[in-house]
Amino acid sequence: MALSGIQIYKMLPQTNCKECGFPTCLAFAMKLAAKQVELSACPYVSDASKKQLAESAAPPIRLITLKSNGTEVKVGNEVCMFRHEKTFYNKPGLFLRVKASDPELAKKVSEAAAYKVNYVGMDFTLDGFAIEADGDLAAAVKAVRGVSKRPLMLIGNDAAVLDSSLALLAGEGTLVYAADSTNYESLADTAKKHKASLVVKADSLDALADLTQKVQAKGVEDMVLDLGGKNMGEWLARSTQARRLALKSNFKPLGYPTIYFADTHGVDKEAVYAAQTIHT
Amino acid sequence: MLVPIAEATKGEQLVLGICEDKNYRTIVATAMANGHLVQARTPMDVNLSKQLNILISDMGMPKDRIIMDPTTGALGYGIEYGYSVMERLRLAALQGDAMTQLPMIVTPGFEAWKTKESKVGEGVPEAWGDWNARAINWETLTAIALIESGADILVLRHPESVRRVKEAIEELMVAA
Repeated sequence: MALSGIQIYKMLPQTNCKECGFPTCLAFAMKLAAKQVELSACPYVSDASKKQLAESAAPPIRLITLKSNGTEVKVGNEVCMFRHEKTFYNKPGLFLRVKASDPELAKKVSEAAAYKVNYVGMDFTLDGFAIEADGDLAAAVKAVRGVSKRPLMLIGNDAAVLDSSLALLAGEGTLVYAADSTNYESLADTAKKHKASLVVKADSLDALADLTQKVQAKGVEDMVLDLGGKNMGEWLARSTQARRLALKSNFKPLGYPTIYFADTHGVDKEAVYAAQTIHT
Repeated sequence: MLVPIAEATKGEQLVLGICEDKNYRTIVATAMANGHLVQARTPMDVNLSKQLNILISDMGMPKDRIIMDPTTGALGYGIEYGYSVMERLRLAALQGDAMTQLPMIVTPGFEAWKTKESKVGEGVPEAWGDWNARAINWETLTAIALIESGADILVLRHPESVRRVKEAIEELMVAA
């Protein structure tokens, strides 16, 4: 939870030395609470206070960056429930799902990577590709990398397979899908080893919050939530609750961006689901 | 024209519109006299919505016969403004502001089919893809966004959009 000026004041040296440029420590604390100055302006603040203040300043929804050689997708870091309260910062990333077993994989990815729509001077493109490990994943990753440099997401549950494929993507920020209660230990280890972000999946918010804490204990900080839900109503309720808990109650275990597979409902409904998950 | 229609359909409950701040008096008067409802349209602004609702109810129209039309834009044509106004109206209503506690009607069909993306099938970039699919998606996506921001009645044009939006509404209304 964001700290008040008074709470911050208690962590400052309270010497009124003026070196930060403000007449008193309290004035400086008020500016800090309003996020108008940086804590580094105070030369005397203790390391313990620094750590505590940094934690309180952490965004309620974690910023996740997926990157490759050249482009990156940033999601999360949001601070409000509604657009009119302030603004939304990061656009949702749009990924195309492809199958490792597809003999036309390279052709499809190459066509999709070339796709763009110009709209009032901006080029809209796909943000990346999600490769399903239903065949030789490492070979598929190589094939995709042969035709596109966009960020990747790997879909699989065999840690060894994911490990060897992530090794091909050294230096990139890849997303791994998905850790659940049965495989999170091995997947968290793999994600940590390769500095990948990890999707965490469970069928209730309670189970999800439990799992993100377990994954975090394994050393993975960058997570994305798969909220599950069997229909639009359930997804909407979970997504709203997760976001509200993260923003209003600073509930860290659900303070992550979300992912949704709009393609699983057929062509007609794909856009409907995508529209709902983007809007909520 | 609305007056004879209102009289001829006395006994039914139609929604008469569009009431705007310039013309609302006549429409509201005939709706009151013949037991109909009115659609109160204002241009994407919370306070203007409230103001028109107040003016109409001051004429003696019961509030359960007024439907707000906060106006919307189509996807890519200002939908975010309409969306925010609707969210704010709904939040104000939930916080107890009586003059915003009315259902909302929006016209995504009309708005979406005004756009070049829906209307034009030739001479547009190839990347826009199949015209028919695009036009229906445009209308459907506009409608879904408005449902998520609190719309109660959606006026659509294409039967396929109606089908898709109906399915979405059913999914949203499943008890948790």
